[in-house]
Amino acid sequence: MTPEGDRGMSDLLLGFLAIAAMLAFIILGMHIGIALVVTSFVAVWMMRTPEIAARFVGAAANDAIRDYLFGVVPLFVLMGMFVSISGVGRDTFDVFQWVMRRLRGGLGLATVGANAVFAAITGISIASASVFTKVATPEMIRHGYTPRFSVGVVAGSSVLGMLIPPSLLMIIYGVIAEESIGRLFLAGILPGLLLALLFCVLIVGMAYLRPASLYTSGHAGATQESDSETWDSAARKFLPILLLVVLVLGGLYGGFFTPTEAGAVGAAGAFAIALLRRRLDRRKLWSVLTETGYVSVSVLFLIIAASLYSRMLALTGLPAFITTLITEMGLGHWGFLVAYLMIVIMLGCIIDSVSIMLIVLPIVLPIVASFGMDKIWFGVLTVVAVEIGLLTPPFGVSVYTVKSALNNPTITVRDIFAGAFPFVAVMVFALFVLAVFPGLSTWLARM
Amino acid sequence: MSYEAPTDLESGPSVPPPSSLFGRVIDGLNGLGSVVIALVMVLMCADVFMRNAFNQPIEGVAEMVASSIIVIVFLQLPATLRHGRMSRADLFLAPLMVSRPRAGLWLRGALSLVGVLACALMAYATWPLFVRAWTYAEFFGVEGVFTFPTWPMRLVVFTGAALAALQYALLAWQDWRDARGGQRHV
Repeated sequence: MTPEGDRGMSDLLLGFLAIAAMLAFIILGMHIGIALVVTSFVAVWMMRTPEIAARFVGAAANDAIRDYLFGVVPLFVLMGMFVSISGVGRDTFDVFQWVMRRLRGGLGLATVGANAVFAAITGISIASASVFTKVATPEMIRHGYTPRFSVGVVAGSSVLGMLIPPSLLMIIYGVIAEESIGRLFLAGILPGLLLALLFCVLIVGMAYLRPASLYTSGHAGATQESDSETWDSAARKFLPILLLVVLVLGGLYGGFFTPTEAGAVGAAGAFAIALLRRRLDRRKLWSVLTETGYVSVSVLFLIIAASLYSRMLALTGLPAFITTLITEMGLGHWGFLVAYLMIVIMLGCIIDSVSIMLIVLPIVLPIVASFGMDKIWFGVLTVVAVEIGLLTPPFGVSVYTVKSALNNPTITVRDIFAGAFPFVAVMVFALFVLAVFPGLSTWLARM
Repeated sequence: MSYEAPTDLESGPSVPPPSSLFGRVIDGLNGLGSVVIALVMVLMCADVFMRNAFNQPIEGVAEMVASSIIVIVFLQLPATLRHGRMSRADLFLAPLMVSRPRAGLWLRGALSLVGVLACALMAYATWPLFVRAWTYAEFFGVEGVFTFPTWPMRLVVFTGAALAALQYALLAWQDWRDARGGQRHV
């Protein structure tokens, strides 16, 4: 903020206007990164000069992501792509299906379990959602589960991918909040397991109390689940994924390599598995590489744009102003937290997870610091809230991923939202539990 | 419409046939970016291996990786645009494209025009950085251990941003042409 009061006031106003304009552009459908760049450029121009504003843009484009750390983004995405194509997802599901075969709602439980394990080798929800939509949904429908439940359980449990390490959202949060990514990964483990457990309780509960919502025939009897595996075949199917988990997380926490290197080693490991299982030819390898490019570029470009945006915000003095405002309002840190989580969930209905974090965190992190809240705990809550938004109508992105991976016109987006609803309710409950018991998030991370 | 879009790896890349020279250049640069990603992976694995097995890290890997991330982004930015994979919110635009396709096309074209502006701005702002890196032979790394000139990186950023601006202009032009022609764009 500038020393003169007038100037400071008008800068604040400009900051508010910039945010309003940016949101308006985003809602109209402008590419989110472009909306951030343009509004930030104009705002800095108004506060300083066009030359300075251009210099800001140049610095953002050339130096914002020039850090070794950002290597994690393409590498973890690449690993996720290799894992998706290697068929490891199907094997994991087969094993869980076999283990859970005697339980009521067994295929639902198998989907959650397989997702939880799969989450430990992918950092992106879409990888889980698209793999399990293709693997688990047809299997469940074939065994007499309702389509609504079958897609709902896939959409719901894909969220585990963002909590159980490695996780792209944790990486992004770590970058903005300047927290250790290794610690954030650890912080996600217990909340991820808690959520998986709650999902299982939900499924078993539904199977006993409201079987009509699970089974097309209205009762469990019709779903004979096959006993197609032996201990031997199950172990053989489970080994690759186990090796990969041990390689990535073991190497990371054993101190052999950094998170960025864990991405590289994991990608190489997944590549080797895909190659050994003959799931890779030149054409597929190329499509994996180009897909990885598209995904990482759209994320990294957002980070570039957001770095410009947060420098603009700092220049307006808006974050400091809002911090004082919130503290003086006497909202208290619980009031602030509730308001924040609601805003994040609402944004999740409109835009994607990375954009939400990049837009909101520069404003709220100073507040978090002034309340003396634990930033790791706050990160876990943020990730869960963002993921709730992605499953909420009208524009939950995860749901649309499931819809297009499904390729089945008889199952509508409405069905998927309806099927995912019980899981969203459970996530809201989990969010509450995690908020009340910070230890669940911080215990492993702060050890 | 974003990185959270579905990815069907089994069916191969969903690349429409490169209809123009420009498209072929864009997809070529994209391929180059993919190669850089693969190289980063190989380089880092080699470094991890050498360091842990022989206690002999490869010099300059961290610096190379840091710079290659920018190179990847700007090599692939135009293609990401071309294939409609930048993230945007669909809540207003998508229904509009269905209910009033012509208005939707006009709007999308106008939004692309802002993209031209933003990317041209990035190119414009990078040019002086390139000139400086070239004139003063700037380098990164640690002198005597590992150094690499800065200008190639700046050049990639400049070229990538400029091509992205062109790609946006092309997208705007296509939408407006379709809007005037009255055809539905799918």
